[in-house]
Amino acid sequence: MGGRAERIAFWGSGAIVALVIAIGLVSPLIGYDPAAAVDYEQKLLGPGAGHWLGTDAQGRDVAMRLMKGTEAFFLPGLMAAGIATMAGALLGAIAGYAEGWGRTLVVGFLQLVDTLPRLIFIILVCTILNPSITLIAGVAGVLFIPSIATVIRRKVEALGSEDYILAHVAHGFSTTRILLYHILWLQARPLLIRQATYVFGYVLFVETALSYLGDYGVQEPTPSWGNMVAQTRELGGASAWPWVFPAVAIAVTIAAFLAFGNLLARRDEEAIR
Amino acid sequence: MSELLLEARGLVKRFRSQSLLRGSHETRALDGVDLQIRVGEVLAVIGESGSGKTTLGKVLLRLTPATAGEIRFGGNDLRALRGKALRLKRREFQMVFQNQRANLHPKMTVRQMLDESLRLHRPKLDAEGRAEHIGGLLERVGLSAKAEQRPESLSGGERRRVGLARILATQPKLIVADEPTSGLDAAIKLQIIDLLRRLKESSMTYMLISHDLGLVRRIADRVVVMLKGRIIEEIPAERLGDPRHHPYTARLMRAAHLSEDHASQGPSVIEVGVGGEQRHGGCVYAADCPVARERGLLTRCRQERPEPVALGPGHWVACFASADPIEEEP
Amino acid sequence: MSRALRLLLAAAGRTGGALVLLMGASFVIYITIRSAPGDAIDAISPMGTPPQVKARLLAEFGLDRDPLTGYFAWLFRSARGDFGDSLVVAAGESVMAVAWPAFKITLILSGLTLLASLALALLGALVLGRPAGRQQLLTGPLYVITSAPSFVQAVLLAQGLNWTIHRYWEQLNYETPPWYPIPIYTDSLMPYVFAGLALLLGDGLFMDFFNAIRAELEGLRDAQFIAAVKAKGARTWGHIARNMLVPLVSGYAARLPIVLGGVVIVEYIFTLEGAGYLLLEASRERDFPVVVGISVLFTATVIGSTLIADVLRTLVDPREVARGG
Repeated sequence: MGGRAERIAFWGSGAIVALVIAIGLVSPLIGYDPAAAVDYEQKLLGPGAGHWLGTDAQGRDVAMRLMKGTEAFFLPGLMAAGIATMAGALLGAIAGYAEGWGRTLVVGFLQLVDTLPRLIFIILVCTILNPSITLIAGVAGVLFIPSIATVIRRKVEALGSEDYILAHVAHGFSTTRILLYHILWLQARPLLIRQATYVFGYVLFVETALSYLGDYGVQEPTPSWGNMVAQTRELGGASAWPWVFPAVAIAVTIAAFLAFGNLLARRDEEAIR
Repeated sequence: MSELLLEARGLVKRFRSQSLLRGSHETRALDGVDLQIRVGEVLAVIGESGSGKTTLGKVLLRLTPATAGEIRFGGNDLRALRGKALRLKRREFQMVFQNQRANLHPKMTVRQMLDESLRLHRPKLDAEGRAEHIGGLLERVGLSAKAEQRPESLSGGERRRVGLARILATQPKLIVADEPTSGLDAAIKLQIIDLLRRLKESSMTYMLISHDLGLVRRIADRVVVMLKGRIIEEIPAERLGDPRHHPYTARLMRAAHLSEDHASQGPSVIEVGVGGEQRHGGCVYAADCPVARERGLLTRCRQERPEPVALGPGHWVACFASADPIEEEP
Repeated sequence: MSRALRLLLAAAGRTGGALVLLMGASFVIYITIRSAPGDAIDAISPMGTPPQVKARLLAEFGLDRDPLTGYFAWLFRSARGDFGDSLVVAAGESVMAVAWPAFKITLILSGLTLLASLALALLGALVLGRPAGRQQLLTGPLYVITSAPSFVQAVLLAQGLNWTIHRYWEQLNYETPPWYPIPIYTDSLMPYVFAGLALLLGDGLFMDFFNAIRAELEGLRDAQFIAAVKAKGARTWGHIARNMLVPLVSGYAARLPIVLGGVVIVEYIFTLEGAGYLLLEASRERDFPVVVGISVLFTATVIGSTLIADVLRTLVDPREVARGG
């Protein structure tokens, strides 16, 4: 496995992920007033010295809005990834380890949630509750619990049939320690990394998609990569600068998160093996 | 005779697989096993794969629940222990699993693993005390130089020794070792055997599960033979040369001798292969037994369960045709 | 028991399980409706709904009863295909009459896209063979491009097409195609093709398929029984094809929900009159019976496709009967 191409992909995607995280962390510290940024004198400029990535139809700096746009998905994405991996890992471990009623209940719950088509269910929730991005991300996190739980469950069952769990029970470790530390942390970490980055990417998708559609999600004038892309609707074909960078940012960020999660997980797997 | 460490009576373990389409299907992995292990002895359980040896080990150590029967360990009723009490008791009886992947953490160094065990089982030791203890343990298993290594860079024999060191860290009273030498080449096997013997001298009690008669001869004090979930013979190790055996044991020994003759260094591993359905009424070996056929005992063997018949001090067989030596087959 | 009977029993069991799941999922949907803040009836009816319509809604969704009996009342009506009447997007018409034709469009679009994606991935895997270093020059960029959400692909595609036609077609005084400029209402089939293309290129669907198929082929090539077949001098393709069928079918079913998620927004971008567009319209107009009806349809489709894949798998691989029964 590996080779030069994979190393390049790992460090390349890692750099993008690091950049997005850094921007996501720094952005809230920088003040931004969308109303004050409007300047019709400067509208629809191409990339240049004053505005690195140009300006939009209201003369607002695209680079600035791109940066502030990370706030829309950064914390919600982290939260959803946290909910999905933690609850998924726990329920997956229970489904793979427990017996009797507890297991039936957990498996039933997982199967149930797994049948809900994610985006459609989120739109349904939006129609009823018109919620904030945070709540939407929470729902997305819950919707991802089954897919993570399934992966963990398979891992636990595989280790069970390898006598791994039994050997640790025999040694006197408590079930909690075996499941949380020996299995989830030491053995299933690559799986969790991969799933967590996937969920983060999904939240980025949902946030930008909803903000693009415009009814839910982040509303103008607050910037989101999604509502920046939505400017295609007002612009007709007048200029591509206001929306092409956010569109590419969405594509590249999601690809980078997925690729980095995958490659990081693979490295971790190799270290374990 | 020294005092009893573990005593099991009437152990039954049934596995039931339920299928909507096929109805329930039952296998008896243990079919009424009585067993005693005395302090300081090495008891070997031999039999081919599928005879229930490993299940017996797991049931005795409360790793798999028994369907019926009684297990007493050092005066405690083991089957009544639950939760934390059971976990604390576990340090007194440890198991070496056949599957080495199961015993070790791929991501931890030898020292970290031993440290983890000591933290759990010797909570009173401080960091310094643990470090000292780890040094002692590694010396006992001859791995002092490998403390900072991870399992991936250890050989098969070294991994097994780490597994043993980890178990010794709990200062157990009883070790159940499941095929401790399987999958190792001859030289490393000897190292392990040597280690097990040295530990035996420090008055450790073992239950050795194996189908390697060579290993059994070298370190066991007492041997029980299992077939299809039952113990069919018990014999002191030094009397293994006695010509009187259960017909199945006789066949096992012959098979082992044959393979030993072929390659004196090679594995004396026994595998004779017993076919047929499990029968609960009579002798488990009836269907394959040449002696039963020869002596016209087949009907009785199939219907009655044979009771143990004493053949000498500490030696009994569960066979109706036990009184006479089993003739060698031509 | 004969094999046919066992298969039938297994299929019946799976169908029963799927129905239970559908009931559970519809319960989740129903509870979500009930969880609306304040007076549920206000939350789920559009502004300015007359009182008699509100009363009808109240009865249709069983909001005047406790959640459990309300759910069963709603379930029995829904099970008969009666999701009430549309309030806004097609006011007065029954939800099914509005949603079903749109849903068929969505289903065909998603199904064909998925099929095309599968065919392309299979072709790619067969042509490229085993993964090799230099291929990453091709698969790497393809990975980046295809991981983008399908709605981003759709936006880029639509804008690119508009721009190209504007720049070259119009300048040269050619007649512009009937679907220009996107989005526009048109009878042309092209927007459907574009939507399919965006879906095909988006959501990580293609590479996911490609990698899965390639891994499966790889495993089969290395499998012992294939080596045995080869040793006998027989052709291996038949065996490989038969063994690929199961992963392909289950892969198809497993990815349908992904496409069904993407299709909603892509339909909106190309103004296709599918269920996704209808769902967003109804959601915007708070046409609640339509939103719920379409949600149930989508959920039923996901469950149904999993069920079909399960049953097909049982037919191809008889061991599954014993395992699953």
